[in-house]
Amino acid sequence: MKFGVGQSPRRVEDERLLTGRGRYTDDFQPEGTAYGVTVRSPYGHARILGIDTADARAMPGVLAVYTAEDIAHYGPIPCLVPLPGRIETYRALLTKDIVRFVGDGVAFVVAETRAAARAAAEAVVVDYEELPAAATLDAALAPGAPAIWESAPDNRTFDWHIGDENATRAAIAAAAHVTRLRIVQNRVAPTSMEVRAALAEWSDDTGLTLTVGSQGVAAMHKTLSREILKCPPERLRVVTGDVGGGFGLKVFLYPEYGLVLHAAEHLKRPVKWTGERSDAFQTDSHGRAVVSEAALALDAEGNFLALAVESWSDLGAYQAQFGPAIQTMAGGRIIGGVYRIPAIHNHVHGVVTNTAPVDAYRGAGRPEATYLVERLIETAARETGRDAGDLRRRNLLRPDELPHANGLGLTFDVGNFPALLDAALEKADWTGFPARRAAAEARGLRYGRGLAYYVEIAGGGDLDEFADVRFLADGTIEAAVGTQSNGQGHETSYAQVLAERLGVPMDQVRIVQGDTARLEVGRGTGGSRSMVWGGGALIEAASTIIEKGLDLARTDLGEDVDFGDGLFRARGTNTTMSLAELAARHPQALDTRARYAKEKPTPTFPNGCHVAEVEVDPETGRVRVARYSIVDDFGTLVNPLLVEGQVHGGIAQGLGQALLENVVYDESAQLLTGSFMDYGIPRADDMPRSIAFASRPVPNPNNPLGAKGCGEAGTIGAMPSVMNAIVDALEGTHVDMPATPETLWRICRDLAEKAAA
Amino acid sequence: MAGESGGYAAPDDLGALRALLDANPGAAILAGGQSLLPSLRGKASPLFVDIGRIAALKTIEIEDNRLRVGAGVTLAALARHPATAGGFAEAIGFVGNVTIRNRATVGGCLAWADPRGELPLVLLALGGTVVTDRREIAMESFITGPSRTALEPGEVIVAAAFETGRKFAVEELLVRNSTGRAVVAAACERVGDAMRYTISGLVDRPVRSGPIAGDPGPWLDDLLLQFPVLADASSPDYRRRVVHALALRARERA
Repeated sequence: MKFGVGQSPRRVEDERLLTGRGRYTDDFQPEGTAYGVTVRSPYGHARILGIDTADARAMPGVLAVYTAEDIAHYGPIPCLVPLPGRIETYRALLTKDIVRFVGDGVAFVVAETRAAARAAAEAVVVDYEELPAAATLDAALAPGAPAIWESAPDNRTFDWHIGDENATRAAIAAAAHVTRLRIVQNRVAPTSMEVRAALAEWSDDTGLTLTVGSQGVAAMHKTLSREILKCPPERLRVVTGDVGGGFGLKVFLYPEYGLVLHAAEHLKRPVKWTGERSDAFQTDSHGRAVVSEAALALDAEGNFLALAVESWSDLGAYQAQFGPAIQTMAGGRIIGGVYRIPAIHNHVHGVVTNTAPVDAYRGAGRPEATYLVERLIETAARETGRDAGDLRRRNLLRPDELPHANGLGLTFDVGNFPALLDAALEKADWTGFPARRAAAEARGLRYGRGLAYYVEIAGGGDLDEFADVRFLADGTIEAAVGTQSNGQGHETSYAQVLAERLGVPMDQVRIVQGDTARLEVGRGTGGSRSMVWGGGALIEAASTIIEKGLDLARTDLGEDVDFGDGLFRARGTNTTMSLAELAARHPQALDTRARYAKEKPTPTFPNGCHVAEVEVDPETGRVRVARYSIVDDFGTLVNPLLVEGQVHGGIAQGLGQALLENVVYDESAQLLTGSFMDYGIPRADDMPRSIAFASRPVPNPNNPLGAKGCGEAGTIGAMPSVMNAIVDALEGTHVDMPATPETLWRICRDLAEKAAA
Repeated sequence: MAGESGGYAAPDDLGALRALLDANPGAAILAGGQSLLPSLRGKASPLFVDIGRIAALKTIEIEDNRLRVGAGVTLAALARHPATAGGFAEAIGFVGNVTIRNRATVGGCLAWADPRGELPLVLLALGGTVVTDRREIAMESFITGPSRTALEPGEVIVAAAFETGRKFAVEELLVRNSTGRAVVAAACERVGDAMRYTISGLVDRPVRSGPIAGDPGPWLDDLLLQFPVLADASSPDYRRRVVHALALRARERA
């Protein structure tokens, strides 16, 4: 079967994954593997007075117990964010003097079996002096708060501004109406289905190999070899097998990856660490965690005049690799969405707390920005008595205003935002809402509707991506791409792209990924970039292959040759040769390593509109999403079925954050939500009964596919649409996430009492 | 210590079970394992005595209008039995999810004595009894607090028994979020002109009312004075109001 771009073949990886033949990191099991376990801090903030490893070392099967002193020659895990004036908070692989969050690693035990390693880890005696902790933004910013870092006595590590503060202030002062909101973005745990794991192997000849679930091996390789191990790049190989969910957290380097490498080199045998779910809750980078105060100014006609935002970004105990970038460089520049807002100012404070480090989580700053502005707009519409759709339509940038520079360093290129809004309202049966509300109210329920128009910055900041295509003896065309599927289905969608360009059946193409021995460069998967960049690299490779093929075909078929439908043809004759035949006649001659590059990084702007309708049961506070519809502009869709699946998963995570998810630390910085018994992730019955999805693409002009990216969009649109709907059902009463039943029940009761009074 | 195991045994009959329990006072009876095993995570495990091979515990028998359900019968099997059609099966359907119901057993649910549990709720609503290897205990006095029962050391639940053919309605609310879970439920059965309510998830055990002609609200208020409130992440006030709403909804369907 020939499948090209725009068709929806089923995922080629599914047969392997659904029949248990996937190979995730923990499935790699070389002969003689030893097992590592991290000894973690039970305190949120404490001084280490001493570590006694003698008993642990003496236990049966124990091969080594490492503490900070044993690995002092390795570099700390770097924070890669170049914000001016940012105070560093270095995180060593193991903590030497002060633990700063529950789960901070103090020792690493390696033993013959997992059970022996676990038992020995419990036998490591750490003498702690507990210190006062600051587990929340409020606690960390309070006068006299304990300083988590000596270098940052007030627990602030940076102060970032963008936009025109004076113009914004002046516009707000002169505005006919100003809507103000304080918004809490709850801290969430990414909860990938496959927990983190790492396996290190040592060879005298080739050095170290790390097998690890990542979102791109090249970046992991670079940080590990340059910053941590400080070894020549050729002495480390990084391999990634199947990955069961990333959502950002698996982009990053965690202490265990360096620790297994150290142990493997030291013990000269394979060493594996596989996290448990409790390790994941404690130590995987968390997401969101920001509090914002925002003001949106409007004139008397409802035109937006200015947007002022001040945010406090909870970074956790250590500034993670991209952590400080999330609310600033990643999300802080898109704070006004694709609306016409003449003056914007965004001010972000970076704050450290005694909690797990916060880093990129599906959307990384863009959901926070969208949530903020969409909550503001919905509130402004209610306050000024305007229809929420009309107010957005009035202020959305029109196609004739594009390209538009938003004043924060972004230039929106293409899109038809008002037309997409109208398509979404039609899809949602916007005008039928009053009848549905009346029907729900007749059943004793409260009913609300919420709208969100999101825009994302995707595929941004990159200069290039790579593809390596080889023609194998059995006729397979094998392509390695420098991105990394975590479940998105790249083996299918990339195969569609390459098969179409080369005019071959899709099943002749095999996509491989995740090995620095094959592709030492590559920028990985994140920020909804894979189709834009990986697709671009494959198209670049296909062009080169066809050019090479034409050259070769001339020697076989004569000077005048063309290519089409997978066939080289001597023009004006019936003499043809397939790509496969040509490859067989000229082994390796068609193999191509392609770089797809741009001189100036130009992000894409996926955008779209979500409309949610919810029922709230006033007697129990329970929420049910009654209707959900979306129209998205992701540019060209490679595989619409996979795209829709990405959107559904994104909605689950956005809805989870809106209704259920919340990482909670108590005052002493103990983690209260350390397992799935305590942390609420969405289940099937929390999801909308159905999701109406439509694509209204305006292809991106700056990449050969015309793709814009789709991985994060569902999450971005779901939070504000669901929360706006809940607020609407509660007559405009402010609610923060997660909107728990008891909270909503109290609001319903208060509203009923007020109505009765 | 984590991961250390006290062993495993799977007797074939009640006699062998008795002998094992007598010889190992610290042993834990393993039925479906759906509550027991998660609770032991990270702790030293006792000797597990698996009752899954004891055929005598897996029967469902009807004598006159009394259903006697073996302790090893799974909730899924019980819900499928024709004699539990209606409210009973509906309540069982609220338990966990299908994979849990496929393993969780009648005896395990009773021994675990979760004050939010659906099986204790309906057994109490029907005025059922717990049959042990020593006696019969009325459901009314079986659960004495969270995870506390009237069972004596070494006493083994062999069955639950209750009257069939009685109609009642059940309503449940499951609240699950990251600050804790709340499960409250109310069953309502028509008794002549009045209603009899059974509720769970509010105080430290499921409770059944006498016939109430009017609003069950005052009865609920009394319960909060009479029994310790169940410690839960959601407030007692909220659960009191919700269980009241559920009781009224059940009344409409009863």
